[in-house]
Amino acid sequence: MTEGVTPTMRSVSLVCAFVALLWGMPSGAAAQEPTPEAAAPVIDTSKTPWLEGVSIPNKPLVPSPVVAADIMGPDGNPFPATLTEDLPVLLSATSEIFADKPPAAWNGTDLKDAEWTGKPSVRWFFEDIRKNRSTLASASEELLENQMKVTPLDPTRAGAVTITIARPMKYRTGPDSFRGTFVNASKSLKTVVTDATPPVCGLEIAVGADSGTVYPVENPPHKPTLPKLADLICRGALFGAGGAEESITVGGVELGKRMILPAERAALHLAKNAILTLKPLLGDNQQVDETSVKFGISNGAGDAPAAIGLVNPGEIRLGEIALPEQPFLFIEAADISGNVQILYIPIKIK
Amino acid sequence: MRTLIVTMSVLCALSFLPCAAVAAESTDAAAQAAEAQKIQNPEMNLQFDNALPANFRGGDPDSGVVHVLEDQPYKRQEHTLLYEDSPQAMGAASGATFAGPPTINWTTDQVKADGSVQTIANDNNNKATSESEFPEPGEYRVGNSGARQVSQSGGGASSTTPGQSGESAAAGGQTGNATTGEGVDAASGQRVTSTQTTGVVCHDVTSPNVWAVFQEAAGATQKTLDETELKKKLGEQVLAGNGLFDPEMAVSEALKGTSMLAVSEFPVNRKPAEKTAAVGVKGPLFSEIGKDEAKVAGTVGMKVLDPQVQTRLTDVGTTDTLKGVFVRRNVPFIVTALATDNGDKCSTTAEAVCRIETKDGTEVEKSESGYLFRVPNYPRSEYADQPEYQFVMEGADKDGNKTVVRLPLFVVNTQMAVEGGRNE
Repeated sequence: MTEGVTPTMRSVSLVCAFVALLWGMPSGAAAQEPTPEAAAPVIDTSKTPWLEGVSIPNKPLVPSPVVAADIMGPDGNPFPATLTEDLPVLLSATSEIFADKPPAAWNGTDLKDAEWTGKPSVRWFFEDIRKNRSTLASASEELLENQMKVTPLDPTRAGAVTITIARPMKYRTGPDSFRGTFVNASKSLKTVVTDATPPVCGLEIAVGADSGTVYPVENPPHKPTLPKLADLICRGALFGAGGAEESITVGGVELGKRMILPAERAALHLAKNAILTLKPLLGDNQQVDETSVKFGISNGAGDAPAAIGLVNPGEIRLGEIALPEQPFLFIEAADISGNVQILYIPIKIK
Repeated sequence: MRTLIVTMSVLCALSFLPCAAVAAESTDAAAQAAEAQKIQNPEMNLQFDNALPANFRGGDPDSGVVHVLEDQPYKRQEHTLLYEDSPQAMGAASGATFAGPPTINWTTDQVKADGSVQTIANDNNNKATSESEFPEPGEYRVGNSGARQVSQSGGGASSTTPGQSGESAAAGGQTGNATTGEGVDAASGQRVTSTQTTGVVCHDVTSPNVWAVFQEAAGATQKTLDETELKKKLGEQVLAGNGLFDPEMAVSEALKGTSMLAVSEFPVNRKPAEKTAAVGVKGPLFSEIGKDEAKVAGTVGMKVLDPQVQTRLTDVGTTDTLKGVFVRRNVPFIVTALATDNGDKCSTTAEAVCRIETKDGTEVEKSESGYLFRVPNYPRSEYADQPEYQFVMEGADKDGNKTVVRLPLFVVNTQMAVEGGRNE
């Protein structure tokens, strides 16, 4: 769990100590307190607007050691460059801050008789760098103090996992006096969160004054295992056999390439020579690849739509096309990560 | 050894064959060079603008701990090289730039009595200043952390991860690929972090909540309790409402028919200068005609008791709607009181002073285990020769905040007030 001094660093330290001995000088300055300086910083808030209102120097006035930290993936493996949305990953941190003793020196000042005075504060964040948004991770199960189960909920190509650790310590400043301070460690590693959820696209259908909309809603959201499931929401008069407004929800539909609205639960009721106007309703947890969007009438509901007539028509005149025995409206769409959704809506001719 | 490696290098060069030893050495050198180029996380300075003196309430000035009052807003600011205009002061190579603004988080941890630490709040405001308050006394840690991308090439922010063009990224699978995050990190620059934490002690400036219960030994339908048992039941009632009095609260079966007087913080978590407490009554002993009442009889401001240590005093006397405690002649009663404090989130009760005294401060002695007054003293105009009594209740917390109640106690010359609603 702890990370020792690397061999390279240890060699350098030994050499320094040896040289210091030769010259009869202490290897670090005596335990002498630095003189607090509080020179006001020069800040140009047109360049660094986040510093507005800041009037303190950019370094602490008393020793506050910074030590290294690293983030490891599951089972001691390296931190993964790619994570999958909704899939938890157990991460762990290594740092000298978990060692038995705090640093004995910092910035040339000896920290004599240094001792920890409390447990570490360990904070994990998932960051969306592009949106500059950070989410604090919280543990719902008992884990070691250096561990966290991180579940990225949204896909991103510019994500990062960041850990910050702080631990209180004290060091001797005189025969009977100690000073308290914090040792700090932090690390941030970029990662990509892949999109595992197909798009949730639907259709808005109008026939004269009547209309109907159908679209999927991921449910349960953020399901960690595939396949993702969705409810199909059907609303409008076109879903009623008698022309009455309907609101039907079909749950438990597998989100993906064969989303077939069961005809016995909901179907579009259209006249033989109805004139339909179609409008796609696009949705995805990342971004729909709009060039992939296709909709129209399909002969059956197979692995891929068998389009009849025009694809992506603004208007469909049913009386002008030879309808198959099992006609469906369909919409096919992919997101920019390549997840594909095909939704079939059965048509019943009045 | 060196001779051997040199010899092998020569042989490799002569034969134009790959040489594992040389390759390994150069890889190590490259790794070390890459490591050397890495920017070390800079220190951070974190300060509270309007904190209390370091020795507040006996604090150790060398502890580095910041002292604040509960419910008082405090401004905090932090500064680090990571938030500057360019990364060169952190040791970044010439030409390197920050690829965007820093991601800034303000985190609050609570240190529990057993020393364990729990993060209770985070504010991702992306600013180097913050304002907040602590609603409960106790020990906290306030941390600030920043993370920011440094582009080693000097270019702008990369919107895609190297090796993955925008449109050809893999579709969501259930496993990560083999490339480590460090690899991504190194390839697209470095994400540098900086963090600092300050210990905070938040001091209690709220007077404790104090409750008293009166139980008469006559006219009650319930079996009367002894003082110990009554105190236990009162404690359960107090904790059930986290110390806060609500006139509409359900009273436990054992306390039905009793009368309760409570002083509790209301509304909770007001700023120290604006803190008030509600005085609540429930039962028949707060009306001269014995009317069973449940009400908030008024609110009282918490006054500064000691400016040096900022303790508070809630001093309760009579109000327009609470003239005193009215007990019946010849009816023995017991009274007991408890206090509870926000210092431990009102999760425990503590003893409170509870007594009856004459005007000159002499404590009235109990008759056996309770009080019994045989001679009425109310109305005062009729019984001016009889002594004046007052009911006194006091609670204090470990920090010195106090609640003191002094109410006249009247002995009414009545039998069952509820029978006739009139004095004999």
